Amino acid sequence: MSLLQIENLCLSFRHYRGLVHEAQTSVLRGIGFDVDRGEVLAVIGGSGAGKSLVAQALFGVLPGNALVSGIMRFEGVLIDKTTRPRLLGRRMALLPQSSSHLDPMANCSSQLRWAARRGGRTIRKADAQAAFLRFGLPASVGKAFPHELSGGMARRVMMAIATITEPDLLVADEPTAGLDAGNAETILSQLRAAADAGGGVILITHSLPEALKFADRVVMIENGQLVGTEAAADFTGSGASLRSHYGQALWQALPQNAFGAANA
Amino acid sequence: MLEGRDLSFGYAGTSLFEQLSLAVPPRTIVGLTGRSGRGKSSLGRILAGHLRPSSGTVVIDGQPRKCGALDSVQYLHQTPIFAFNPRWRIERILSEAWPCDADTRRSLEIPDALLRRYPHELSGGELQRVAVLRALAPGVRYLIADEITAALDPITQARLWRVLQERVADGLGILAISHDRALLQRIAGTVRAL
Repeated sequence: MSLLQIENLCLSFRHYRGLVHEAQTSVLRGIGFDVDRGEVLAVIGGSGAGKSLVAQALFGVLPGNALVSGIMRFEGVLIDKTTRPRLLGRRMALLPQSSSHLDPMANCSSQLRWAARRGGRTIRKADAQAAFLRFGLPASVGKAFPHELSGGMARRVMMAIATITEPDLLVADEPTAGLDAGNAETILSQLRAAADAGGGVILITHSLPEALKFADRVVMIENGQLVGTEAAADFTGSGASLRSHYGQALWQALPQNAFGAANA
Repeated sequence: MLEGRDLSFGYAGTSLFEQLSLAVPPRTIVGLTGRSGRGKSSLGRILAGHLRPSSGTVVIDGQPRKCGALDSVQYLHQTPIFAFNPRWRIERILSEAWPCDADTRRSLEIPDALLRRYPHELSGGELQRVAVLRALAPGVRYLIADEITAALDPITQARLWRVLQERVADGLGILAISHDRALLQRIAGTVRAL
């Protein structure tokens, strides 16, 4: 059984047109994929393609005017309002895109301990320090407030928070945005390690070269629709073994390849 | 030729670069790369006249830049949403800069339907195309492209640079700031590391 199954996920936003009339804008249509244990699945798409919305739908953190339909299963159990409290922060965790998700009023050590407590564990100070150390952070980070951290450190603190309960599924939303190559590499290797240790990882990104280096499979989303699923290893040479037209166009558009010779 | 001569700059007592000189000739794309925090964007903003260097000068064809007219050097933001008035429609944002001709608009794939929308109703790729269109007013001879395609997918990135490369063949000079070495190798004649 797959760790996570998503079938026919559709999402639209309800909004007012004028004062009275309501309209719906469809943003995701018929998205479906599986994630297995030991696998890093990359979800690729341009900005505005809807890839972050998939994560938000999964974790039930969409704005109030969102209408979601479709089936999401975690180890065969339907993910909904009743099962989410037992899953979120315990079995599945989200690594958010921006460091604005850290509490600006609390130091990092408290935030880590709260995350552990919410996930049903209590940890001592030494455990917190060990968790930070695992991501190459000095013990002094525990006392630091979020505004005292650089972008790369903040991301690693969020990584420590997301993984403190050893979740089976980790969803990373653009984990390398705004990081330099060294920091990006560190974060991505840690995601890879989480998968190699038997978890499942969803890596949401707009960077194909980055995804190919660390992911096993690539799911491509364009304009809210699934436009192809490929094995990462098939993105090689002229891209002849790629099955989807979009996958080939994406591969050809890379500066290191033909830089857009094929038409999407 | 757009030239920065002996530029020095820093924030709050720390120096980012000193006595740095850089030239962007017309009909060329010059690449600028370097680790985060080295001052790439600051250098770009100085060349575009948005920041004043602590010492050194910026000259265009040997002359200091003129004030009070359209600046012939325009700066393109990594996140274009910050470069637009959120309460204006695209139509007004564009016409404030110049009466955009249909050919340029077509080459950047900006349909009429987009003009009636507000900046937040556009995708990242659409926004960046609008920002480029706005900057391509007649009289603009140099662009400072600060990571303009870093947030875009490869297909959108390739299309946008194709349009800019055509402009460069017609005489435009571009300073392309990017972390992506493969991209700079593809588009830039020379690459400078900071």
